[in-house]
Amino acid sequence: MNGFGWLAREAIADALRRRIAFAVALAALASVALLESCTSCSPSLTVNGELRELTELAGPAGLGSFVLLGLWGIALAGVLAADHLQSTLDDGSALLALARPISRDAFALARLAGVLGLSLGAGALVLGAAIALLSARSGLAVAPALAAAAACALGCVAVAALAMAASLALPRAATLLLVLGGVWLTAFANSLGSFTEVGGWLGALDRFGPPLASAMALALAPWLDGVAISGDSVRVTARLAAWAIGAVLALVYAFRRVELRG
Amino acid sequence: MVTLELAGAVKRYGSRTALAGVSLRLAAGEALGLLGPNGAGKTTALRLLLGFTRASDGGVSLRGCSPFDPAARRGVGYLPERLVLPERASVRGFLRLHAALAEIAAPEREAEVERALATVGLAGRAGDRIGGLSKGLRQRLGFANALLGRPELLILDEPTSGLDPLGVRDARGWLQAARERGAALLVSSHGLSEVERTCDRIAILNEGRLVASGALAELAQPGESLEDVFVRAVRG
Repeated sequence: MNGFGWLAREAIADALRRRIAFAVALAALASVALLESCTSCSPSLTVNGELRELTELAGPAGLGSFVLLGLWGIALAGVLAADHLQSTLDDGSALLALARPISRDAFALARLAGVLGLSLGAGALVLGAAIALLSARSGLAVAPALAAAAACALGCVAVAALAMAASLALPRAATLLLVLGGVWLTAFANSLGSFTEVGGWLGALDRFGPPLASAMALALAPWLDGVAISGDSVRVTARLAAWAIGAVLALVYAFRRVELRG
Repeated sequence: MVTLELAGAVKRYGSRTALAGVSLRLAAGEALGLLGPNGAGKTTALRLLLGFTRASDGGVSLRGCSPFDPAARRGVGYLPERLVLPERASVRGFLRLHAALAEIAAPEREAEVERALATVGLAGRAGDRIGGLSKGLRQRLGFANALLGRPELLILDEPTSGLDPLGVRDARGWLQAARERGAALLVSSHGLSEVERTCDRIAILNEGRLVASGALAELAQPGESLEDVFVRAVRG
């Protein structure tokens, strides 16, 4: 194992030692329990006075649940990243590692790997359970869910790297607000843009911002019967991948310029 | 061979000038004591040399390379003034991590960690959590970390801070042993007697400027101690 591997292992251990890790584990278990309960309810329900078989609604309900869980995972990655690198600068613990023959790039990427280790692990648990339950109980295809999970992972990388880069310049509270506000505002813009033409800055956010919700929703479109979501899944996922790469490069660039005081 | 060099190094933080054109050189095997009152720029000079911060002007080199090149820090041991250690890690685990980061080959790593622990007298506490160590023992651990891999260059910022008189005496022995095997030392300290005993050259900074530099015998007038030299250099 090289220096990056050792630092990444240490960063994952640091992430697991944080108090928020316990809250993440509880929230993940609660999400799985909720899904388990939602997918085992009665086989029919009344919608607008009309009796509908639940299997008819499984696609939209499954898509909505899956995207919400994915967004939860993405927001979690951003929250964890908001101080996972900056705290090592604030307390001076980064100095001992950076006095070794370790590049700043390796150090920043290792801290990012620590965040992603925890958030992707929690995401894999929750989304894996969601895929298993939705497939076994509602008969939804697995392949679209796997593609959506991959899109969620890209979203985690993009948001975590952006949050980490922002944390080098902003106070923690401001970074957290930016992360939470940014994720949910982007998801809102994506939701509107999926079904209607949106103008103004919300439209710009939907068309050029990181398509956090729309990449997952488009991947899950095969679950919908007769409802079209606007957008091309491949192009939208490619845009999300470009955002993830750009965010990682922004993090590396920002960390190279940081003055280490300790 | 020059192991580190500041050539007219300037460092400004906004409108404040922390270093104003400081030039220093340290050759292999030499020991240089960096003295100065609080805020003189000693720690800033060390930060420049380790690539923690960028000079506003002038040149900085570490082992012949830019300090931003990770290879320049190969074979360098560093003890910061404010030593922050991972509270929940074990003493041995912390040193294992740093032995790996110092690029000590895997087959030699364990032996090197045990050697460093024995050197600083922490072999009996190797399995303890760092959070349970006293300030003096933490400083010993900081020394063990700096001494890992028998570095060619030791950069130490207030190395005896937190050590009791026995610890100070031990530290002097560790530094002497490092010198005997040919390591160069750069020691920034307020402890004039420690610098006098450990270093063969002295550089005194005041308000970001180098105000005196050389061997104590060259700097001191007849009957003067290092303290007298220091006061004269700083107060003029």
